[in-house]
Amino acid sequence: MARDKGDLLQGTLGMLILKSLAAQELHGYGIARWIEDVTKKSLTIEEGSLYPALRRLEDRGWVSSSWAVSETNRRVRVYTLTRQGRAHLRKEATSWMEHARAISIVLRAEPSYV
Amino acid sequence: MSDRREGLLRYVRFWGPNVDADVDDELRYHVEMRTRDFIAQGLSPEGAREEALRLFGDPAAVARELRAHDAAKLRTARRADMLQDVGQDLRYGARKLVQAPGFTAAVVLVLALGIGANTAVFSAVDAALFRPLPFFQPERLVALQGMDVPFFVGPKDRVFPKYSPNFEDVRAQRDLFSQVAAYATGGLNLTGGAEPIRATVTYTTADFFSLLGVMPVVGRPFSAGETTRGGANAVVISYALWQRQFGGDPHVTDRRVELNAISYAIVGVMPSDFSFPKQTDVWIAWPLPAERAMFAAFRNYIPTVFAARLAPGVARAAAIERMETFRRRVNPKVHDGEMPAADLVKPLQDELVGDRRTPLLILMGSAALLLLIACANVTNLLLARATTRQREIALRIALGATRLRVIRQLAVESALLAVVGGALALGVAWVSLGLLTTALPASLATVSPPRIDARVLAFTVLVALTTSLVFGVWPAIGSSKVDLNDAMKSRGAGLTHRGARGVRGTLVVAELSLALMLLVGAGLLIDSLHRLLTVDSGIRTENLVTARLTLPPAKFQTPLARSAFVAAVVARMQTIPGVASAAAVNALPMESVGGIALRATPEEAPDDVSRGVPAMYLSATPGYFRTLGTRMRGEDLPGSADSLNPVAVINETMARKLWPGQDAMGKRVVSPAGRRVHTVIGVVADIRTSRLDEMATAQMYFPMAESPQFYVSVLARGTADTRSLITAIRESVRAIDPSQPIYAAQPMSDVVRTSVAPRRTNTILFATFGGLALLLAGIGVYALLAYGVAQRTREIGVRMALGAQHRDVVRLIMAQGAALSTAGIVIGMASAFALTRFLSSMLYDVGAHDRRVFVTVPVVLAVISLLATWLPARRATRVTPMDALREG
Repeated sequence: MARDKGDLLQGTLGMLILKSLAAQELHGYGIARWIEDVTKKSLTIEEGSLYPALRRLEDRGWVSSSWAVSETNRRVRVYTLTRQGRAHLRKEATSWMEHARAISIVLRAEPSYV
Repeated sequence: MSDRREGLLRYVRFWGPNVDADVDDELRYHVEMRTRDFIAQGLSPEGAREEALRLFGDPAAVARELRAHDAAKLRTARRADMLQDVGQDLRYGARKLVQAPGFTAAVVLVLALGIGANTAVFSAVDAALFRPLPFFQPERLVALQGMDVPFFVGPKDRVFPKYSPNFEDVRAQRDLFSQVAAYATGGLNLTGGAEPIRATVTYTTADFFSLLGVMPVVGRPFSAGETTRGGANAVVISYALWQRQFGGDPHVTDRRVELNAISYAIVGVMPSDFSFPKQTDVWIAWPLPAERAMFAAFRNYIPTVFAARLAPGVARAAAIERMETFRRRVNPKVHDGEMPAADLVKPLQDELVGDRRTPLLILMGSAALLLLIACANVTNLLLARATTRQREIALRIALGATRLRVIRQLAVESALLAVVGGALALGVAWVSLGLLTTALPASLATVSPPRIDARVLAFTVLVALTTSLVFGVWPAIGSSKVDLNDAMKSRGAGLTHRGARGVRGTLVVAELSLALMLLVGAGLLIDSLHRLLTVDSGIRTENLVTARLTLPPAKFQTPLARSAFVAAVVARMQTIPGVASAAAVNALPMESVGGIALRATPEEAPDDVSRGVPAMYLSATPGYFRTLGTRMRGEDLPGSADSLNPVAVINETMARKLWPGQDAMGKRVVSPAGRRVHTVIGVVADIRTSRLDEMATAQMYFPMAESPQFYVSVLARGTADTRSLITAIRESVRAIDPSQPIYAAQPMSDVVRTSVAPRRTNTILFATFGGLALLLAGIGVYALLAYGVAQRTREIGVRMALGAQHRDVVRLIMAQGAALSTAGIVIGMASAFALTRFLSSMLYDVGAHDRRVFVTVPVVLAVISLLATWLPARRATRVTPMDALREG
């Protein structure tokens, strides 16, 4: 079965959100835009699923939110990475990278065609 | 419109976040920003919005999910907030209460007494009246009256005409009662266990256990054979007896016991919570028709109860109607005066409670009055404290606490007091219940003894919380209405509201009048008990000692053997140094189980039922009346039986009833027992027969030698002290027959006292409540006035500085106290006058409006409140102008 290009693996959306907040606070739309920009549109997410994911992250204490006023003078909800969130992101990223490296080693093994 | 909405939202958010609006805002912003970006990239506005929505997915579904999530989260947060607030209130309240240990101790103590008394009384009332009988469908169980036990009639026995329907007749009414059982409780000597004991035994007919729906845990109930005449002797024992006498032996059903020297097989053990009726140790299979011999060990008297289960669909009223018809068919002459039709079928529980219902309910009412007094007292204390705390409360309000918050804080404090008081109350109840049940078991226990269980706990919690509402919230609301300016300006203790003082005065008046009501009730009961104990019971109890003997039928088969043994014991007792006279009788006066009453008629009209009287048949040795100290004229009973010319002694009541206006001496009386004719050789003063508070019935005494019983009480009157007399009696019996035990050896005064035990219990409880009420009311008066003096130190000081004398100050305070007590006494007298008639059934020879009590009690109350007034008044005279200035 062919998978759509950039379809997100289960659980990776949370990690992407945490990563997007690693350097700055963002509102929901900002997070969507950041992921789009960084991946150069190679990953598409259903933007609506971003918000339930944010609530889950908040419930676990990895993200906190507050209301602020946007550059366009609108009331917006802004999300921040918490300390626990940062620690979790570090752990998650490390294990993901190791995982990815291991898989790429396997896939590069001879014969190199599929 | 949008502006207005924003404004509204902002207002709403003041109370907390608006979940729906927040979610909408967030999602709408996302879509709008995306649309704007698409437009910037060159899409048409419509295309851009369409694309943005497509990218987003399903906004409505997402919004729904977020709203649900956020709302749940908000609820959790609010709950946590509130818990935290209450926790804070509790900690603050506890700190405040610890800071005022005197106040806290007073309140907790008053509450503990008030609630404790109620808990104890409730547990007794609950056990007797409210708790359903612990049987299967107890509401279908009824007690049947106006029935007879069918007796086995041997060839030599005289047949009496049938007077009432008997057990077998009623058991045949299958459509009316699905099951019928008879049971009769008494005491027998039990041997064959760990040690010989006097056991409480209950004769039970075949269906007893299945009627109640309780089965043995070990072994089986009685078999059909065991409850049929001529079947094997069988008993079922109680769990307690199994443990105590048989060490819980699992093979106990292979063992046997002896009851009054008759052997029975143990076939079963009942569950540990079953000892019905009257803490029964042993249930004996009772085959019907009954053998008369069975009754011999009970002095021919067993109070038999007939219990039945109404057949499905049969109402009690219908059963009464059927039974009434039935009894008229058996005996057309029967009339309601003998037994009201409504009593023929009574709920079993009512029958078991008997005449204890009214006293118990009155007791519950008085406990409630006591609790009211306690509440009034505590309210007063809280009000006094609220006045001194005005500055603190004003400060809190000034710092931003809402009124609601202040009320909640104060309510939490009173709830805290109630909880601590309630916990202590359980201790009070537990201790007093323990004292009551050990000291006065018979008058409290019915089926299950009173105990502190979940129901009683729930009651205590309910009462404690209700009282905390009653005494706590009102002062709390009052003190939250603080005028900030006034409170902050005034220095020292703050202001006394004229209104608050008025309320507190009213509360004290209420306390005094409630206390007066309880005291009047207690006074009437104490007077009744006193009159009862000094009533002429027909006997003199000083220096009189009694003991019981049960002669084993196996050993004393012939009447001659019995009368010879009794005569020998009495003769031996007469030789005890210091014994003036000794005698024996089959039934002591005022024992709860009397003798047997049969109809006796004068010889002139032997078959005229209307001239006959039901007379108690007793048999006694010569010297019985002298030993009792009872007046008599004519001759004493002879020591031997004269079968040709039988004689009897009758009491004054019987003489009056059989031969009104004539001298009974020398007259002859016909008794149905063998239709013998006895000549009256003596007339003796009335002796209270079954209980001290029941009038004497007709009594007829036969020589012990003529009708010796298996069950005998011996009596000795002497100058020696009770204990050595009892020892001497024991030795006398042992000298005649070393294997014959005696029991229930006690001074006659104890027998009399036992007969009034329930009355004594009620009186003691009432007197205790009255005493507590008096104490609480006294404290109430004292607290109010003492507080007033403390509050008015400055005023008093100024008065003294202006030349007022000590006398004037005392008069000032005393006048206030006198006004309170006068009002309390007047109101209390009026209420007591209206209410004491409910006590009538508990009084003896004292009117419900007895003048002596209605004069004495107010005087006592006045003296106590005078004392409570004088103490603060004296303190007021010690105020010097300098104190007042320092205070100010």
